[in-house]
Amino acid sequence: MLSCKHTIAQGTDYLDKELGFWRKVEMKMHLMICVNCRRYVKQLKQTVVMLSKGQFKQPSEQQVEQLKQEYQDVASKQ
Amino acid sequence: MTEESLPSEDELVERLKNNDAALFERVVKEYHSSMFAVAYSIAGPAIADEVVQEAWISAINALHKFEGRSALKSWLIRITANEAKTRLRKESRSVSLEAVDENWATDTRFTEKGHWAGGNPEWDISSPDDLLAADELQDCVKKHMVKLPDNQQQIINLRDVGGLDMDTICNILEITASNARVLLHRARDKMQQVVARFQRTGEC
Repeated sequence: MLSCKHTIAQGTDYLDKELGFWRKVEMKMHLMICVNCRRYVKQLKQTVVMLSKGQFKQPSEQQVEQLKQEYQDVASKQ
Repeated sequence: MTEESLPSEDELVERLKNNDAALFERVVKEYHSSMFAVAYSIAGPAIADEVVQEAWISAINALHKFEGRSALKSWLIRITANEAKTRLRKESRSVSLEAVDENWATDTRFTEKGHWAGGNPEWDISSPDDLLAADELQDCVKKHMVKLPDNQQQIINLRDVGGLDMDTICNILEITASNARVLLHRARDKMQQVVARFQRTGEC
């Protein structure tokens, strides 16, 4: 049986579906009986979703306008 | 997010080569944050904006030569990564991709046998939206994010914040897939611990 420490070390591979068949079975069996690791996997997922929602900033209107101008200048020369 | 999706790759490139400024604007808005993630991760926050700007200008000037051998987005990401790496050399900021933060043996969350030492309590704030809305927690996450070793910081910013796929990330950082997965897990695990501690103690 996997230890809790080994189980959580596979957390990212489990969430990203990168575990091979047997490792996945082993992990699922552990998660079935271990509430702490089940919580950990859930929390890891919540953390990842939180990070992905706090996305990097969008360009400012000024930046977009400047790039559009550059694009049109280059296009008109070609 | 753009309101409507971009046209197919072939049409997209064709129209961009034919001076479609409205479409160009949509492309900028669509791909900017991924390019920013790359610039930020490689060259650092101080010059990320400049790097992205330079990358767009290089791309605009090279667009007529773009043959579509890769997707436009991959091409833009590659230009950004190259620009960021060049700038990094100029700024002579060193990034160690090999540094490994090994804390396996000394992880106090676990007993010697690898069981949870003090359990793992449920979080009071648990939905990602509520986590995001908690300002103090977000400040804490940001503070700890920049304390991660460079390689872990790069990968979590590229993958989880920037949303890039692992193949692209491995190419940019020149690391193997298995190495990338280990680094990504270490970074995510650290962030989980930051959130967990904040929820347990209210302290950062």
